[in-house]
Amino acid sequence: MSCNISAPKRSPRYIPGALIFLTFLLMAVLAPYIAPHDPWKRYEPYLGPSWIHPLGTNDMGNDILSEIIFGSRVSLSVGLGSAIISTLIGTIIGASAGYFRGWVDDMLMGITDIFLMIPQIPLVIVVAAFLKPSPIMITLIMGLLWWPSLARIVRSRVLQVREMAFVGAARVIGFSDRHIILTDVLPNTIHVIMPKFMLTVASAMIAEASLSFLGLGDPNAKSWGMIINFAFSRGGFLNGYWWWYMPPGICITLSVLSLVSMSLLLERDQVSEHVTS
Amino acid sequence: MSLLELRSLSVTFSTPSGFVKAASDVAMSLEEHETLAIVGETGCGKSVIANAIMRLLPENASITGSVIYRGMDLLKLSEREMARIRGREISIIFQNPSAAFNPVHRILDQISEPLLIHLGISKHSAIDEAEGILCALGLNGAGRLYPFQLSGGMNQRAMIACSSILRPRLLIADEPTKGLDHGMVNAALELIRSVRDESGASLILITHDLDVALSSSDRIAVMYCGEIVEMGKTEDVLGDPAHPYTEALRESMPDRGFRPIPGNTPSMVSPPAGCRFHPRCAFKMNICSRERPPLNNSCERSVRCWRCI
Amino acid sequence: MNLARYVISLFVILSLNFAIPRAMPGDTMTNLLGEDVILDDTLVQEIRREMGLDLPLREQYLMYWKDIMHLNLGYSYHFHSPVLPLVLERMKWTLLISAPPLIVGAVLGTLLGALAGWRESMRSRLQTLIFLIIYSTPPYFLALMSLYIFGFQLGWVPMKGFYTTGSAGNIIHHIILPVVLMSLFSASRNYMIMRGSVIQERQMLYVLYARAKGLYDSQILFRHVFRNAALPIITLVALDFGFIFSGALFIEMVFSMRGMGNLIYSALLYRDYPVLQGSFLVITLMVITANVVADVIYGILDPRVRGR
Ligand SMILES: Nc1ncnc2c1ncn2[C@@H]1O[C@H](COP(=O)(O)OP(=O)(O)OP(=O)(O)O)[C@@H](O)[C@H]1O
Ligand SMILES: [Mg+2]
Repeated sequence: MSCNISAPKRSPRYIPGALIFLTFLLMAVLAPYIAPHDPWKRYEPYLGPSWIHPLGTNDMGNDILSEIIFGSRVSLSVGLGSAIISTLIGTIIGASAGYFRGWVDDMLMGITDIFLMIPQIPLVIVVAAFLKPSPIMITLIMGLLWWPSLARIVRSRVLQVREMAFVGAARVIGFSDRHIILTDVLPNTIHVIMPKFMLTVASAMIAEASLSFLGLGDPNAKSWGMIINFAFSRGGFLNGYWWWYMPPGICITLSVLSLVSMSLLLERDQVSEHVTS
Repeated sequence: MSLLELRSLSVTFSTPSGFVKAASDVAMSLEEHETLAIVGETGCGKSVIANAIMRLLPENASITGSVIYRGMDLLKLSEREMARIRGREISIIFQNPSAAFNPVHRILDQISEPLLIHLGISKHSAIDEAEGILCALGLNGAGRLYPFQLSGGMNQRAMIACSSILRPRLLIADEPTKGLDHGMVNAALELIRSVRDESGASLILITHDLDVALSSSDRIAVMYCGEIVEMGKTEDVLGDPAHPYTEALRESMPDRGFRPIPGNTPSMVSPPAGCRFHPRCAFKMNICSRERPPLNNSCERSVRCWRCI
Repeated sequence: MNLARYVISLFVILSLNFAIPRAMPGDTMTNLLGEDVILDDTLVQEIRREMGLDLPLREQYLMYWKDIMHLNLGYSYHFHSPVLPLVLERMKWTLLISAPPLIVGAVLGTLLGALAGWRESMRSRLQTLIFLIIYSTPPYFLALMSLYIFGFQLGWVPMKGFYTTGSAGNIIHHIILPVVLMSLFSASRNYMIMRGSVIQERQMLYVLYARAKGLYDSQILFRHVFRNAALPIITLVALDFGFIFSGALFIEMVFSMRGMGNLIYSALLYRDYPVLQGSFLVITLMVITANVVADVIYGILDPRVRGR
């Protein structure tokens, strides 16, 4: 039935990205077990790196390494959470527009185009300023804003899939639209959704880090961006305490990099598959 | 000396699902002013041969054997040297003219391009010359348009003009009539033949249609699953096929009752052992599934079949 | 058709701007004036009436549009200034560090991206990795690191501000690092898009035919592939404009430059909502303008659109 897709080939090129991302994922899940200290416990402030505090302590005397390990929880869950929400919205809107076409398509894509043009980060800043938000709130706001480009992609893929023989056959047999979308159309669309999903996680993580850097967000929910924000605003940067703000930044870059590279490889394989099929 | 000679040419694509042996051990030669037709089912490797001659295959292709054009092995030339031969000495006409033109350039600019890059003449005179040729084809004014504004048939004529503008010695036409409606088929063939005769070129005509081969070619090569199974004078081969596949192909033509060849087209990743046609052959013998028949030459006819040894 | 799209977008975004302070939790008047304002009760009543907050929403909405038509985006009590001139004054500086990089980044990114997508080599792979890393780094972190290295450790560039003396050379010395960072940031995004676009484009039959005509590699890329591959990215770059501009805001904050970024930062600190909303509005207007420009360019470059 789903004839012209195949699962992405396992290849060594995916391994570095997948490995890095899994490491961060494990770090988030196992945080309480691998963190050397309680990130909220206070030791002597402004300590440099040492055996006891590998990355020193911050202005409050919190152990920075433990903060970073726990920070992966906030950063990853905000990234994944908002990407899941926006992917759901984008898929529903894009699939409906592409499948039903006509006025449904016109209306949904009109809305999408408008959303597409709103600069997301400034809007999040404005909304977040009013809400004094928690990580969950940030996740929701971003989830509700990040979907338009995915909706576009899903729509154009669904327009193609719709024309394939087996979809026509299913319609002739008389399956309901919902059934056809779920069993025929979406399975043939998943390979354009996946790479975009990863990119969305990545860009949501960058956005979260940026908002935290602005101090928008819950100062008690230690995310990587929040750690950098404190290092910047509380003297860590001007005093040259690189161990305070460099590691969380590197964590952001690495996890985003792993996602983006996997996404690119997925997309690339899709292109070469088009040619051989 | 022949104009073109292929010696045990083999092409293999490496793909995620394995090695596709798109052409195996292909040998053929083409004389000056001669027209050779290549026929066979879809996917049997006709286009691969054409593109291998011009070295247009993608990077995942590995080619062995040799392509001797006027005494030089094209496969050994550098990319620069090859570029000087393409379009000037050897030209190709693709089967999908509307996609073969660049959508964002005017037809005229694209047709005059070979003049510009090979002769180094001024843009102005190149355009002038191209315009003259378009006029001669009855496409006055079409040069100022873009490919999407032209019909498939018009694009086809424009591409024939473009490919022959430098009077190449060898013209390869890869299914030039595919997708054209019936009236256009003869016109396109007529145009190709006249271009061939005017520039005194040899022609390799790739086609599905045996009638086309019969009306336009001197010799014919029948391909099956990457191999040449029969080759000889066109009237001889089509008039009295020696290979069971040629016979089956002839019977599958619409005017012969449209009888499809039984069985499925074989996989090119792991082709059948022995004779590649044996699973579908009505005259199968024991040896056919064990040993690969050689291409047997006897008086201007080559056949790859155990029955003809 | 497209014009209608932009007009509708503009209408929706302006209405959104009306709705946000009224829909958000908290007192609407505070949401409209900012939290930096301390007023006594009688004054509150007076202002409330003056702003029409006791009128029905429909009339407030009409009033809002009248204000927009008069380019009145409200008053900032924190900065003691009407919002629009304040934003425009800061915008000048932000454009100084973001407009040149937008152009440099577009040229650099599309060129290198096209080459990398066209032929894979050791060099192009390394290049892709570098741009990928820049792409994956929050711009402010990139700014922090380079400021640490070039300002703090090496002392090559000043640590903060747009100028100390105000001479051209002095300004350039101040903005050179942010401008380079912005260029790289914008180039990295264009690079990734263009590279993908060329990879897709090079499968097309017209590329093969161009080769069959006797063009060689670089000729095919620049005569044929480049323009086709660049077409879709014109739109994408315009849509990305908001993102790149946001990057400039963050880089400014790190370099303590008195542009839009810092305006937004202090507005956030004091919850100066009128300034936040005004900034958002002006940025959105710029993004929409960028999209209109992209549409026009697209129309010029693509005969298929022009023909209609
Ligand atoms: N780039 C490629 N990568 C992998 N396999 C390929 C590639 N190009 C062609 N092939 C395979 O080589 C075989 C021969 O293809 P070719 O295009 O020569 O067929 P053909 O005889 O021209 O068919 P048609 O009549 O449909 O044009 C096919 O099985 C095809 O799948
Ligand atoms: Mg073919």
